[in-house]
Amino acid sequence: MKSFKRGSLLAALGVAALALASPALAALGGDVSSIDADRVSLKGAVTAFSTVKGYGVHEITTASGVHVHEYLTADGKVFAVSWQGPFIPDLKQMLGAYYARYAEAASGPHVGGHRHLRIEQPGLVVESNGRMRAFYGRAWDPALLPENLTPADIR
Amino acid sequence: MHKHLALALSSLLLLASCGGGGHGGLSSGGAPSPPPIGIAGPGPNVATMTVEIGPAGLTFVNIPFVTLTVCAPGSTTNCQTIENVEVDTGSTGVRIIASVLNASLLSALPQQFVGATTTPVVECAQFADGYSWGPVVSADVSISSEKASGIPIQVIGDPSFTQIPTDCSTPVPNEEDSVATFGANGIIGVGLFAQDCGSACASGVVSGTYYGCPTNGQTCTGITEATNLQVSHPVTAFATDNNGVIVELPTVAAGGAATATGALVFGIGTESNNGLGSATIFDTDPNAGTITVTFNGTQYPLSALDSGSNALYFNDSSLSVCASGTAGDGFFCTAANLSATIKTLAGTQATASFTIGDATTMIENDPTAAAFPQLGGPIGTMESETFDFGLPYFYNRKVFTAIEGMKAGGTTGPYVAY
Repeated sequence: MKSFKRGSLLAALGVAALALASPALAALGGDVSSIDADRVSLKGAVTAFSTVKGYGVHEITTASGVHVHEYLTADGKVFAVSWQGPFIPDLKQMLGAYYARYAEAASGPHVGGHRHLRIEQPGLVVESNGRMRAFYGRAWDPALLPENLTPADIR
Repeated sequence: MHKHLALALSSLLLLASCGGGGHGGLSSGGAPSPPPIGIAGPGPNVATMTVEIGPAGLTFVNIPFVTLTVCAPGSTTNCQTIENVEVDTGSTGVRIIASVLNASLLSALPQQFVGATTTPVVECAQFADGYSWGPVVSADVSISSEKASGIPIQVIGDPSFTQIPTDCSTPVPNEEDSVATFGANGIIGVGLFAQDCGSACASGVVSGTYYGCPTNGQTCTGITEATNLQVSHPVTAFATDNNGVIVELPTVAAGGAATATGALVFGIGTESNNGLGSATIFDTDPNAGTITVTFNGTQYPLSALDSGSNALYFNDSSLSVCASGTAGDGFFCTAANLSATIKTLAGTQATASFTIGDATTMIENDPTAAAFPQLGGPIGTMESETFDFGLPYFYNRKVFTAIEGMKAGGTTGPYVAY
């Protein structure tokens, strides 16, 4: 994805203006207007704004060094979240209304041992991977995924 | 996956569509087999390590186990031998399931308190598929003739600490506090880092890590935890042979075997039996411990050589995944000889060849086997950031894991090598 770090934020186009108006992020499925909750809950700061195929991606970096990305549809709805860093962030906040379904599925038997967990349901995919000091994962709602994106665009 | 063995009959009907279909994958016709490595013989720095069906049963395969002795600090009598402790080069620290410990030892392991208070320190150990909750205590841990005296370890699932903080359980809401859910009686994390959390937890409160839990039932509160108090690498506390470990496993038949017996060797370049020799050292990220793998033209920067991962996990759209309800459900069902490269410390690319077998066929042919050298599976359904060289890659190899900050065989850790 193209990345616009802080210094060149103003160079970003229309979607960036939306980001500047509300410099924080929402939970999966949530609205951009309520976006401060994740940043506050994760004790993080918005560190970058970028776009992937024209869709806005906010980056929050937590105090403990976890990078969280939240992906926005053109009308400001979060269709995907991802994370990478030494810890697993608070997915209850990040998954919002989707969390209950995730929680129910997470305790079932799974392939992947202690290193990989994948939950796929209609309307929700969650992937959690990695090990101490190096976790990463992502979650998205396939129904909200813009047509010209694939899950491989969620990094 | 073995839970599906009852469905074996119907699964057999599916085998024809599962690709490969040979008995036990591609042992013949592929690359010539390398000569067997010599597993270290008995010695003061050598612990027997066995891949076998552990205490949690057939659901868990490709897990290497050792036996530890845990004693109350300073005691030579209040001790317990604990079998089936998982060897994990992808985590740090000793963790024992509380129900495995006898009452006299459990009560004699000194609880760690927050500063000068009487508030117990309790840890939330995060794994990608769940969490383990329990108090931090001090113990003497012995293995082979090596001993780590008075190190902080975690007791998982201690019934005295049942109040689990929300921010421990919500990242991955899957409690792994019993032998059945954890998959072992305990774990010995002999990874790249000296502590499980490190400086991040010493410099600030990190949610989902260390807590102070008042005994009066008040809510647990996240705490900062100095590195010397954190659950730590047992090997760094040894008097000698304290710079890393070698995981050595024998050749295993392509279709799998009931057990595979190898060695966990302590120290790198410290004795006549643990030299680095001609092993290739890989470029290892000093913060994340990751290596960089290139496979099918894609670079995977968050990759690992990890004994705590029970299969070769990676993505290859040309490999089919065994269907739901079959014995190999979720693993690859296409047999293939494949090759990746790993970036070396010297900056070159080292070839890493491996073979994937048809998981359903392997498991059905040998349903009680625990060691499967050709077990592979996908990470998600599309490109991921990682290529996970799990335990199958360790068979017939000596894999070195050097601890951060320690000079091992002339090179300072953290690094992985083989």
